[in-house]
Amino acid sequence: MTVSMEENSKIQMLSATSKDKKVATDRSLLNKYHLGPLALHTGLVLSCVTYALGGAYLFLSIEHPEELKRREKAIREFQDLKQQFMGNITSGIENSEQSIEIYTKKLILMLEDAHNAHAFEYFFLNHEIPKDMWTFSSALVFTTTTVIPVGYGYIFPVSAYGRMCLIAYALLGIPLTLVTMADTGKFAAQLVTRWFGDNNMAIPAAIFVCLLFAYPLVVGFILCSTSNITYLDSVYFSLTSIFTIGFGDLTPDMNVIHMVLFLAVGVILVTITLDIVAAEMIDRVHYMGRHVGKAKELAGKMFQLAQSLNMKQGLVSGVGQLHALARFGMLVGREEVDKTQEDGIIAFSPDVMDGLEFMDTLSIYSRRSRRSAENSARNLFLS
Amino acid sequence: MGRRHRRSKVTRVVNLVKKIIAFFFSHIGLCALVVGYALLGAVIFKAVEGPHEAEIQELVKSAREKAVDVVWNATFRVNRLDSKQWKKTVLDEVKRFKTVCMLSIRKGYDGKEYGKQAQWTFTGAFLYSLTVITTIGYGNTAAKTYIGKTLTMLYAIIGIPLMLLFLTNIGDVMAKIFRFLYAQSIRLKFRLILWHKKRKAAKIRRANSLVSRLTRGHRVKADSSVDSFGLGAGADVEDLLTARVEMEQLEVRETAAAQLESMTVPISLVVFTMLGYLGVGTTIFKVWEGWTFLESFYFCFISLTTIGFGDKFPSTSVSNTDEAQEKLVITSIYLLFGMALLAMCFNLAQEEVQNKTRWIADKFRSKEDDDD
Repeated sequence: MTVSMEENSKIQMLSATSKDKKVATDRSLLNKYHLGPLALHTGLVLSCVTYALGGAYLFLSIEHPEELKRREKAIREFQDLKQQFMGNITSGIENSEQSIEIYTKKLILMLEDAHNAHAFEYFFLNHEIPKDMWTFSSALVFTTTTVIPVGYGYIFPVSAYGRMCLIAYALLGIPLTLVTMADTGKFAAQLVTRWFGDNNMAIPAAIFVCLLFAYPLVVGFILCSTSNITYLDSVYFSLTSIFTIGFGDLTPDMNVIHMVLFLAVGVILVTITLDIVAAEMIDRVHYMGRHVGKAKELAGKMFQLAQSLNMKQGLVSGVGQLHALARFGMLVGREEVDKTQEDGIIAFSPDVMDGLEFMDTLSIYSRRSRRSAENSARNLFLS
Repeated sequence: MGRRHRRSKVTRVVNLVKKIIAFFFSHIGLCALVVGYALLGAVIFKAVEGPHEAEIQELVKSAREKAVDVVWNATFRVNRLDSKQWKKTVLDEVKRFKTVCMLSIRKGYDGKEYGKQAQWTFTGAFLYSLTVITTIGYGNTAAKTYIGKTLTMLYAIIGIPLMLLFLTNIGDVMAKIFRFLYAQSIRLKFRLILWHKKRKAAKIRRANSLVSRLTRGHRVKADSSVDSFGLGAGADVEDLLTARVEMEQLEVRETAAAQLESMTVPISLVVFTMLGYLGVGTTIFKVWEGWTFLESFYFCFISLTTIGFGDKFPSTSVSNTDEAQEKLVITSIYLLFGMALLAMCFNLAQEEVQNKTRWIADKFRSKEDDDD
């Protein structure tokens, strides 16, 4: 009797210990769940900022001495050309037309070089000491537009060493930046989707399309009012920038920080919009698929359109998986509940789309409209 | 009767529309659509920007003629004026001419003579259209007129999604082809290995048969004790060798099956392919433009990553000669195919990264289960 009582008390103690362990585990997992994604977002953004600043310093230290050297050479060449022209004019009166012709050709040829054009404009036309092309702020704009990759071409490396550094810098920087922007964009899109998209994805899609078209117009208006270019040129500049075309034929006066923020927000907006619109198209095509035989083919094409963003988004799937890892702890505590709802998920899965492999991005946008937020992490693993 | 006829007609029209849509979203239709869109852009931009370019060239030409006249007159009067005033007059006129040149350059003048050379030829406009929809955007050639800029914006809004769709399709197809070729090379490799193993097995079998024959002969001649010992030894050795060879063959088949099942191309092979393509482009532009190796590689890299600074550009191609136009076409094809190849590489690399990430996730989950 005494022995059995002792055994019972031991068993109770063990069960209590296990319960305490479970509670402690849940708390730590809850903390992990809250801190994980935030740390990930912040880490990526800080990495990008650090990378851009570091690159600016690197290219400034490499290219600034080269610029000074080339400027002196350019000014000397222009002086020589001028002296030669004056000499020709003085010696032969009947050859003046030919002299001007030769002078013009040589002048235009020299001006094709950006450094020469820069020095010529300041030194000869304005009679000023030429401003430095490579300052820290211009280097920062350069590194930012390299990794996004807009590539205005206002300034660029001309030395061999600078160009080699640029190739290595872009190889590392472009994937990092695109992953960060895709991550931030997905985060923002989730917020909007959660707020508006309880019933369907049409409203978020419409919102982002309107934002995308309004953004260049608004920024164009701001540029037009603060700078010396026309409204059309401002909108033209904005549009070619956020689509990362970046001709660089216009040079609006703009603060470096504003320029960087404008580019980052614009490109993220383009990414989100293309992503969501493609997801919406897949939903619509799926609905049509109940009546149209070739919907699967069309859906596949539209789906591939969404998938194509990975070329711009870099390793977005890796980010998705990281999100899944961050949310994994939440699943352990809800195993039983999810098992019950999992059958429901299978019941609602679209038959026509069975052959398709959904990307992480699509699983969030296209499936969220049918299920509650609690299943989002589960869906990430299922997708 | 009329109602039935009307319904069949409507159905026929709907089916026709479906077929057309299916065709344009197929691979061939999509390629044709992209090329057609670029050609359309070429026609439009040449019509819009060509006259503007001619106008600018005329402006510079007249400015130069005026400069010539002034210098001539000043020089003609040198007998009556002092040299200081003559020099001042000439310098002022030359400075004015320089100013006109600089402003014209800003407006798009590139130093080319009217009628002899022009940026906005058909192929030049084609390359411009391509750099817009691929988002490379060199900027050497850029729209300058009001209408040109407006059309560029509209052209980009429609063309960029179209190009993304095209790259997705063509990248997917190329990825499949690449994967198929890789699988075939794996099969070939393991077939060679199996062939070697089988030849080795045949050698062993011949050796075994020789041993058996010797043992059999020995058994006829020798006494019973030696006979039993020899036969046992021969049988054991034979069985061991045969079993080992069969085990090796089984291992090879299992390895081949495992690799074919995963069906992912290594990232190193993807990177090597991309570097090879860059190498080809580097060689082409080095020969054409007289650039150094680094400059050519730099241009190809900047183009295919769609950064497109525009500091390096095939400048001798901007001409009306047939050879120059041909170079522009080849440059366009190189860029288009290069973008598709890049999309393919992204597809393959993405699969590899995805598989590795999933493997890590599974391992993490297993660890969690063990802890629980």
